[in-house]
Amino acid sequence: MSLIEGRFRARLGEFSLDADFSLPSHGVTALFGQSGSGKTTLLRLIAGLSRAPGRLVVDGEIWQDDSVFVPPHRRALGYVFQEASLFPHLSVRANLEYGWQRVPPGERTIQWDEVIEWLGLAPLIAHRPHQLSGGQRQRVAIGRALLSCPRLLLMDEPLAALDAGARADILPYLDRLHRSLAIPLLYVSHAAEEVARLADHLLCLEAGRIVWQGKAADGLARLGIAPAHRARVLAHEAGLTVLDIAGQTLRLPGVHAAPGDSVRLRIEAAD
Amino acid sequence: MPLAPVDTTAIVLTLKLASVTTVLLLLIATPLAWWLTHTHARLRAAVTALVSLPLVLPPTVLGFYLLVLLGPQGAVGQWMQQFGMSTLPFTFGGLLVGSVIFSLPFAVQPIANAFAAIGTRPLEVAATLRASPWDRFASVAVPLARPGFITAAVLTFAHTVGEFGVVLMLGGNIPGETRVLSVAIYDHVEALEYADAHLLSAGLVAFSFLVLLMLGRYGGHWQRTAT
Repeated sequence: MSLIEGRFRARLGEFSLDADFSLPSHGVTALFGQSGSGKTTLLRLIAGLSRAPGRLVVDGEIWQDDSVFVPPHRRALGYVFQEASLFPHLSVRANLEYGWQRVPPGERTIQWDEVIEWLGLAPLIAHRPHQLSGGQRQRVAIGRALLSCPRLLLMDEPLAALDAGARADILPYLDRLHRSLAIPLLYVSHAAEEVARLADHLLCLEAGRIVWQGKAADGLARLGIAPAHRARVLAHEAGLTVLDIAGQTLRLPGVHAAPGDSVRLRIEAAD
Repeated sequence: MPLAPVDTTAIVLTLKLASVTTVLLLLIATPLAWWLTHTHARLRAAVTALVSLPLVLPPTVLGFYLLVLLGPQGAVGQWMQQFGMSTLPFTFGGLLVGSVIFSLPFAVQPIANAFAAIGTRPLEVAATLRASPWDRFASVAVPLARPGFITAAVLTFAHTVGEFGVVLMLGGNIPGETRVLSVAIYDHVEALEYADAHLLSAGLVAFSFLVLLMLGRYGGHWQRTAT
């Protein structure tokens, strides 16, 4: 059963968007496409930050149709922008508390401590945003969005503005969120390796049209990208992690996961 | 040389006028600046020009029209009399109206510039974090525009302390009611009391210098440390 169903028709100058989509109620859905294909436009329409004729139903609740338009602050969604966009006048703690405090305590669906732990935010909490690195800032932005207790988390290329080092730092946290999070995540990206690593489902956007949607593995194969294998962590031995992939064991360095966790591996055809 | 009691009265009156003008003008200029920053209405250009008019008009022109408008024969004056109110020219209230209009661009422009510099992103972020439009304005826009508010307040205060033409046209020279510092200096010079004129003028020069110094130090302080 799909949780989120939407249809938008928008015309913005030369560009026209005509997207009909449905997302499953769990896991990571990647919204994949070239720059200029309308990924961000679609994400903003889902968030209610932009407006165009259409219909959007999330979890049985109508966010938009011909007669209804729920403003963004009444939609239970989290939005992570390409730039972390932390509030510069607030401390990291106050940034994290911003959405959290605006959710009545009885309606909080997420634990404060859990989010702090998942994203490793404890050492950052007393700082000011300008004291953080780009990767740290983006982690705070993700935490801030999660703490607003969304039913749908939207991320607009959260790694695109980071350098390769910061990107490598933050990816394990995203893996971890993917394992721990009970809400669906719609992840915009034009980077095939991020999609292959994180996505369960795929929405391919081309010139404003959804040209393919389905399981990520199928979609990636169609795009000629090596899909990720699901592996289970068996143990850590002598600095190497022992993984189980469909009955085969594989030893790899530098896997940050506890025994019993499941991780994803991508093996290039050339390897 | 000590200050004469009439001069002390003029100083107190000037500070009172400047303080009340500043508070009133921040209340008026904030929504106006917000509207000017965010509206796409065609009226925007006309309103911007209107707000800036006191920058280029001689204060005597502004004072003259206010005198006519607020006077017993003027539209506003007649309307006020119908409701049993006394007319505003030659009262402190009249000076206040004149000062607010005279300093309007000095308050609106810094605040509007500060709102424009924030951009839409922080407000969008706040919206996705469940903040209503009023909440976003109070918790994000106002604190981020703080340097603009400081500049607006300081400029309005200083500009009101230094105003002369509007006061003379609209308020005359009534001790304790409309005889402000600049008028007092003018009177001293007319009466060839140069020592008294020096004392007040030098005080005003020192005050203005300190204000501009403070503006440079604190007005821009926050912008430098923010990223």
